[in-house]
Amino acid sequence: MALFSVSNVKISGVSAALPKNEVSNFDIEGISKEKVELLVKTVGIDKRRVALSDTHASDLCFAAAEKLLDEMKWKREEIDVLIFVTQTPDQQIPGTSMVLQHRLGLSTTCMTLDVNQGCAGYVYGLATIANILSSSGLKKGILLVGDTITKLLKEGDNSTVPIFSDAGSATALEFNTKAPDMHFNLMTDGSKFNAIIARKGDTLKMKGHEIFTFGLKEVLPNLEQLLDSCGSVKEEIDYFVFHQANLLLNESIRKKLMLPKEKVPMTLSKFGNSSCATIPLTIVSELCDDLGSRNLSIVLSGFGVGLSWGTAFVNFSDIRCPQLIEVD
Amino acid sequence: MEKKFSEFYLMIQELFEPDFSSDFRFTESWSSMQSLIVVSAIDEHYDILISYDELNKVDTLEELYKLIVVKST
Repeated sequence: MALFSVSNVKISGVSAALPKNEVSNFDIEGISKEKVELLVKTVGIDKRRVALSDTHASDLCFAAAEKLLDEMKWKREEIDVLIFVTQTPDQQIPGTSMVLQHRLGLSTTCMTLDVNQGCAGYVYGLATIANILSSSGLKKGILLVGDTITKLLKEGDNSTVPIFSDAGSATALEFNTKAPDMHFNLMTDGSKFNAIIARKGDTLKMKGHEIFTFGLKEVLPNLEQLLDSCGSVKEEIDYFVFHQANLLLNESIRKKLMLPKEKVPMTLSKFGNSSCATIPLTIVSELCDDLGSRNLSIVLSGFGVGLSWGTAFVNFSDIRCPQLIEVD
Repeated sequence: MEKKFSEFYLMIQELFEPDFSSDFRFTESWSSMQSLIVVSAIDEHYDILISYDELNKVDTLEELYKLIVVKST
C-alpha cells in the first residue's frame, strides 16, 4: 500500500504559467446553442487556454521555473534534482527533463527524471521528489508539472475539446529538518488504462462515463484513508485543492465529502482542465495571497488517466508564489 | 414503491426543467452530458453508482428506478 509519509522536506515556492491564447467554449461550432449552454453549465468551463503550435509544455514550465528561481534567488548550481511530469514531452527520445536542465542553466551534477502522469501527476511528482530529497542527502529540487494536452485533441470532438486546456508549473522544494511531514496515499488501476488514452500517433479518446464513476467511487475513500492514517480530520484542513476535472464531477466529490465551497478553490471556469497542471495552477491563482501570509494545511487530490489517483496532505508556510505568468 | 418512483421521477424532471423528456432512451433529448447529470444525481440521492453498460440496458425511467432498487438491496 502506497500510504506513506515523508520527513524533512519543505515546499518553498510555487509558480504557474499559461498560454496567452484564450478561447471561449461559447464559440464551439457544430452543436446547437442550447447544447453549448448545457455543456458549459455542466462542465463549468467558460474559457480555456490553448498553446500556439510552437509552444510546448516544456516552454510553459520553463517560464514558470525561471520566474520562481529568480524571485527565490536560488543559485542554479544549487539545484540537485529536476523532475518533469508531463504526458506531452517535446520528443519521444530523449526525455524533456534533460532539455530543461540545460535550458534552465542547472549544473550537470543535477539529476533529472521524466514522469508520465496526468491528472494525478502533481501529487505523484510531489511524492517522488520529496522522497528523493528526504532520503538522498540532496538539498534542493524543482518539480515541473505541465501539459499541452490540447495538441492531442481531435478538432470537433465535443467530448474532449471543451474540457482540456494547457498550463505549466514549477514547485521549489528543499531539505529542511524543521519541515512538517508530508503525507501521501497513491493508487493505480491499470485495468482501465484505455478510459483516457492517446495511442501512438492518434488523438486523445476519453470514456466520459467511466471516468466520471471512477471519480465518484475512488476519490473520497482515498482522501479519508490518508487523513485517518495521519490522525487528522477534514475540519482541520484549510483548503482542499482537487484536480480540476469538470464541474459536475468536482461538485459531486465536494458534496460527498461535505466540504464547504470556500475551502475548495476552483479555476475550471477560467482555465479549464489542464491535466497534471490544474492543482499547482489553482494554488497559484486562488491561494497566492494566503500562502504568503499564514501557514496552511492543504489537501491535494489528483485523479484520472491511468487510472491513477492520489492524495497529499502538506503544510504550506512561508511560500514564494509569483503571480501567474502568461506565455506568447 | 410507487410513491418512491414518483419522487425519483420528480427528481429527474427537476434536473432538466423546462426541457424534461420522459423518453429515457438515448435520443436527441438525452445526451451523454445529461446521462452524467442523472448518474451524479442518483449517486447523491441513493449512493448508487450506475455504470455505462447498466445505463445502456434500461429504456425507461421506471426501469432505471428498478435498477437502483436492485442495486441498493
